[in-house]
Amino acid sequence: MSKKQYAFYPGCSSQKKVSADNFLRSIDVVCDKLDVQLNEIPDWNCCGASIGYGEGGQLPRIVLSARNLALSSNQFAGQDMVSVCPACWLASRETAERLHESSSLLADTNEALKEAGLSYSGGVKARHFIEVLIEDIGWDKMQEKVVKPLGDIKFAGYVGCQTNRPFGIAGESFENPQYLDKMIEMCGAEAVPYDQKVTCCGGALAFSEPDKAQKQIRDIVESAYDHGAEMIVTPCQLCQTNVEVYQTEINRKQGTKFHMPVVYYSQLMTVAYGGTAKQAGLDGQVIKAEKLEKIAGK
Amino acid sequence: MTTANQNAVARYKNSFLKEVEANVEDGHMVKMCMQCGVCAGSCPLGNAWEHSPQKLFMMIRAGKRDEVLKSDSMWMCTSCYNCISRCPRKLPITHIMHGLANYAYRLGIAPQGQPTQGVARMFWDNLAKTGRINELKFAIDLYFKDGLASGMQVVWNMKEDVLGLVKANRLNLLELFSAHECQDKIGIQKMLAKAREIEDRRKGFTQ
Amino acid sequence: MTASIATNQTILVVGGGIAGMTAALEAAECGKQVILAEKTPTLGGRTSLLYRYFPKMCHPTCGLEINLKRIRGNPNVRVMTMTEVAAVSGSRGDYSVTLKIRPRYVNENCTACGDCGKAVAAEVPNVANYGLDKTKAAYLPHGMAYPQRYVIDPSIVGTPEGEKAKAACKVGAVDLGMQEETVELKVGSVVWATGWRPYDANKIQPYGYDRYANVITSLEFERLADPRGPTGGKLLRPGDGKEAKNIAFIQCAGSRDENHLRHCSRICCMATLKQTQYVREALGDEGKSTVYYIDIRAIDRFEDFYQNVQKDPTVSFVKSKVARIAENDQNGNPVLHGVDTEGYQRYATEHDLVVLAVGMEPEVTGVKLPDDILLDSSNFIEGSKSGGMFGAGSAASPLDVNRAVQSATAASLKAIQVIHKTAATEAAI
Repeated sequence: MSKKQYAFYPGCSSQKKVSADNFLRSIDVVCDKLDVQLNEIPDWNCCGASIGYGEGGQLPRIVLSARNLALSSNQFAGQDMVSVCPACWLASRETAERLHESSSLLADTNEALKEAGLSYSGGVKARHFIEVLIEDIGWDKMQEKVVKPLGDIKFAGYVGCQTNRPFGIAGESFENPQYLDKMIEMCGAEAVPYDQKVTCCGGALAFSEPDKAQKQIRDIVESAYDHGAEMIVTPCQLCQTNVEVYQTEINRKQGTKFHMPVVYYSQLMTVAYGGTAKQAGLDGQVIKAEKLEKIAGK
Repeated sequence: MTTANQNAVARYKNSFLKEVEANVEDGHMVKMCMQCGVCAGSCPLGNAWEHSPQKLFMMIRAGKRDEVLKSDSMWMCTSCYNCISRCPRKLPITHIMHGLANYAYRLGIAPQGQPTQGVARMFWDNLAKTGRINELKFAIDLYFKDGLASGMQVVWNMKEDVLGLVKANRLNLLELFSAHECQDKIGIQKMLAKAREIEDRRKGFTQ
Repeated sequence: MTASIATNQTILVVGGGIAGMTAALEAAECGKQVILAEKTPTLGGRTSLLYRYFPKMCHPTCGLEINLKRIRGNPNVRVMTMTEVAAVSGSRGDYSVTLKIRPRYVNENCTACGDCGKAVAAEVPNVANYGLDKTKAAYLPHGMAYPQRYVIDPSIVGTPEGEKAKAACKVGAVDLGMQEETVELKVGSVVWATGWRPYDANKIQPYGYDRYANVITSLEFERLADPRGPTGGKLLRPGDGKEAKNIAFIQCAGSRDENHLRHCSRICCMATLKQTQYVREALGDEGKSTVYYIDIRAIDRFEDFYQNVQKDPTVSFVKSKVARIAENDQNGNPVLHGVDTEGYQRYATEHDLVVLAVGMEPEVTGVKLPDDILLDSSNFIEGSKSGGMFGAGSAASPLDVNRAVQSATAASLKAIQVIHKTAATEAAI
């Protein structure tokens, strides 16, 4: 069977030996199982993320994303450009839409792109990998590949912000999206209801306003515990890192005893699809997801 | 006062709203606000703001230029997009907050030493150098921004996490020497410089 | 009914709520032939589901009864219930209309004795109480129903339950063999009094109507307050049946919102002010109403009503559009989060019950109307290109009962003018 083809924009955190190295490995397995081929865009660049606004103005940020769209269009014409990172997706999609709406902005953008030997004329659709899974692959096919249901593990599905707002997955609610819970259940595990599903983890302010961000993270982890979750699962690299890594810091400062693994949806899928702990990138957890490792090792 | 700021004050005289409409990202939407307060109530860091977005919008219309541009409120935005998704008038509030912060910063009148401003600059400088973020360098710049001693303290406090990330292959100490970077970093630098030049021209930062 | 009863001198009124009844009567009392087509089994519309009207706080029985009496006494009005317009063609003065009549499974022999309802065990959601309770599958729509005739719900037709209803009827009124009918008519003018529906509160996701039992709509609250409603007039909250004493009202729930309804629904502020007085009526000084609002629009002459409510110490006002509602797991209380824009204080306030003052959405939203009909950006009916069809009441604009009646009279006059012109032209030929 021929694989579905997409131009792939991994983003800075999903490269080898950086913060979401393990995420990328599990994405590879999921793609392999579901006949998806992600064609990495050569020489892609950083999207500027949200925090880039302070120094970079509007046009420099748009130009960053436009360069990726232009490269995608040149190298993989006709393919949708897919991101696994919500910030990359948001920046790309927002840029694609704005350039589509404004010819003067497109002209300014092309004037700058020329300096890098590129031009962009529009037409690339920027999509999130989860859209590909749900809309192009479909729940039935995703479900079919499950060979190791995850049994009795209770997960708190933590969707966070930018996978969900302002665009979100079509047909889902901003306040109470269902797809992540559905993915957990598809993998045979239990999704616990809790009230911090779309709470902000503080984003980049975890670096600049640690106390304020850590209050957010504490609320999320605490609620997950209160509602009986054993692990948190998320689609977002920054959510994952913030919520996992700062637990130690919160414990140190506030005397809590948090020790809750935070994993990616693709790691759940990899294990449910029969992948090893290493394929699922579980060796990349700072707080070990022992129950998942055990299932993977069976 | 910087020249850019003096020029802006002179050009827009008593209409700060017009100035915002002309120079701030999505500033033309400010006048659509109907003061319902849903943005203020939706902001995760709302209790850290002196002025909520809706209050800022009213202050812009009231011509309170200094109070708005010198406020550190916009810098509290986590980019969670709650305000955008709930605003009944569909104001792109997150963008306007980013735009106001950036405009104040470029005029040189944003609050000095504002932590998020510092991180934002660090992040941008980092990515603009090679086209991609070098996470290790970013972490070092961040934690040692106040000198070696305080940096060592931060790292010491977070040693388990740092070690954990290294062990988990998610923080690579070799990134100091051979990092992920774009091949055409020169082209990217030139492209960004050009974009800034165009924007400066449009917003009157250069004459 | 055959096509011969209607001519291009006839006026068709679509919708038998307060506006449709009024439009039909005004024309009929001028001697015009009128067909009043209503989709549901009874006239009265949403007005009959209110507990009281503002500003005089009288019961809807009052206005409806007068109209029903006029209808009963006027041979010029022919009432067709369970009837919908399937198609309209032609132009001003000469329309061909196709009506679809759903089977009621009960004929005119019915005396509304209620034996069929007693015989049947099956239940269906009670539309007259906005689904807050259930009713038997053989039912009278409500106490004021016109015609006073039972309805058999289609879900029991062809089942033993249906047979039970038939067997219980002593006057041979239950006819389970009724089929859907289609009728073609000629009419000269059409008044669309198709009314409104409450905006779907499930779509207002930050308020969790779909997730929290103790968040209800203002229409449901009307039924709670009504002694003929599901709780006998006690303000018992749906989550646990506890009496709600500390009640929040959230204004602009779906209205004035580009994500939902663009327009101001105009009735909701007055409806809420009225409902705070239901709380006072039910609980005296023990009740507490808190109104969360953007701005209070007690349209034109009702400002005094607002001022009187402001003086009521059991009612307080918070100038704020509530950002979101969470639920206290322990007691099921909704917790309202937002910022009070008078002073900019953040609040997280717990209430026993939240009433969403939901907006008015035209009932025709999502319905395919004749191409001739002109709609505004919120789907209210502005009129028709050929000038022979008119909107009336809340189909034309978000209106309260009083103004809906005025609007209906105006629309009726326009329809009469069309008929007169048609008659004059034909006479000239």
